[in-house]
Amino acid sequence: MSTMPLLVRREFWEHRAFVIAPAIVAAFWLLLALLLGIFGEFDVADLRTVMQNHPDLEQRAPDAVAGLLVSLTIPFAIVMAVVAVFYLLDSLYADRRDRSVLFWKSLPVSDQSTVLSKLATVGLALPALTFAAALATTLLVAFIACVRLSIEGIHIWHLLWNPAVWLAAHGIFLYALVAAVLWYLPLFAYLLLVSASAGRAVMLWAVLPPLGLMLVEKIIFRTDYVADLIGNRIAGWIPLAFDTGHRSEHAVVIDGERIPFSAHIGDVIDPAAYFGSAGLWLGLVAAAVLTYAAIMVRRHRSDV
Amino acid sequence: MSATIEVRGVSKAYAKVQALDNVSFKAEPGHIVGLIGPNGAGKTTALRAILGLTSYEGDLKVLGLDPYTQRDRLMQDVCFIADVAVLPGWLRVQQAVQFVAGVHPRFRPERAEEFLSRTTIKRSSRVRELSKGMIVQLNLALVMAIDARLLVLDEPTLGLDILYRKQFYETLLSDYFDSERTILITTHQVEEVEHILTDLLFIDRGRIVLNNSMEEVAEKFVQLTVNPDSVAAAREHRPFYEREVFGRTVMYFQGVAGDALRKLGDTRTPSVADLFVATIRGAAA
Repeated sequence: MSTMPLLVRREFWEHRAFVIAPAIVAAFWLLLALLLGIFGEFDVADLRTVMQNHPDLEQRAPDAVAGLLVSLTIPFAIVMAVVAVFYLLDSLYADRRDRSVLFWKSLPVSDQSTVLSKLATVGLALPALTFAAALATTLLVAFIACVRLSIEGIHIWHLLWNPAVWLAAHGIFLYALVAAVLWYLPLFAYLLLVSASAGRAVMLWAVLPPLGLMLVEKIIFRTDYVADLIGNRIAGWIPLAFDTGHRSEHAVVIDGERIPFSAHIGDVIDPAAYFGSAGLWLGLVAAAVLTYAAIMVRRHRSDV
Repeated sequence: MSATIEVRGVSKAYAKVQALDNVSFKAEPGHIVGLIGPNGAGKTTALRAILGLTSYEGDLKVLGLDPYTQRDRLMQDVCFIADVAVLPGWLRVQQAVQFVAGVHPRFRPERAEEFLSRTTIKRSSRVRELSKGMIVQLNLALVMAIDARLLVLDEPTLGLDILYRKQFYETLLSDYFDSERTILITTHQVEEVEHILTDLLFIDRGRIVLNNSMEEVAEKFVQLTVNPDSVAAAREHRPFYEREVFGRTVMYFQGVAGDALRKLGDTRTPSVADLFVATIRGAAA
């Protein structure tokens, strides 16, 4: 297992999208912040009036800032999820297509380590990178905003640079990343299995079986259990992991689900419900079975 | 010392083809074994079985291990070069060295560096930017830096020009091979390896049809270019194959005393390529 960091590094050598994708999202936010900071026109007087007319601003600002920060992080997560899906489908297929699997298999690395390194890339390395990119970007964007408003004579430094707010916003993001990755592990493992098995057209092999099952079920039984199961596996973690907005009045809406935000992390997250849910643990069991199957296929496929 | 490779009664059937049919052979340390056969004869299947890349029936031990179930352990002592298309195009030269150094306990990076410094390969190049010849040099640099006991070469010089092919085998012999090591080669370019082989294996339709050391080949097989008036007399010694070359009949004999044949024409030890054609065609006739 001491070779695992190197195996993960190998994945970063091969897949430059891991670095390019978050860099593009970061560049987008920074460019937007800079453009608004340089060319954006604010009605400064109006802003001042608002600040003066709301004496409770000092109390309410942390919630708004936390919400803003969380909103900035979400595109990172979505882009990385897309990158992860394409990566996983490619991960045990590309080297069979270009025959380089013969080279990799000529080295003393077990198939188990190989498959687990792909899972570790998606389950650990990519979330860590996503988090770091989001943190760096929010810091820079907040700094640009502060500088611009300072030039106008409005000083919000004390509102924005509140450690508690940052801890809350990035705490929520980190929690969401962990919750999402654990929830998605069976999907990741399924994609690995498809990638290890398919002779070609991995994307079709990934999509058609569940789609076929849904269709067959619909036609024969006129029910939607498979569709519900898949839908739950994609968005089902959100209402479990978060206290969906009963205690907090602010929320970001994704996939029709309301993710609340607040400067008080405890108002937002609901780890007890998430970690106590059967869906999480059944999913992890499924992930283990599918990963084992992927390892077996990787090892026993002789027509490389 | 026990055999490096010990194959006993190994068979492998695909849906329609019997790729290996009860194959048995041994390869000892200090030997260079040529596994020669026509396309589809089972060479690749045999190599894959030895490298743990395919399942099989029968008894197969490489360095005392079962390749199929213990591939990752076996690969600490075995190196493999397939034809040049096998290193991934995105890999950079320095990454290749770094990766092998990280996963292979017997890899000495400084040896690979030393070998690479004798070439014009840039460390920052990707494999896809290298010529075929350079890729083979890179492959060799990686393999020669590994202190392995068995080297398996599957058409290692495919698509290379003659200069690189010569250089490849020269480097292999002078810098790599010694009495502790075993090399197993399959290739179609028989002429280039025949002078370095110590043992010869012919495989045809999944069966081993010839299994001899080069000394045995020289003792057992005779190629006779028959004098025009002696054809009938020569046939009485029962050649296993004959052909016409420039209007003269050339016959191949196994286990016939050279003295008896020398009177009938010019005798010599057949080249591996000629012996191969004679054995395969002779068996088919």
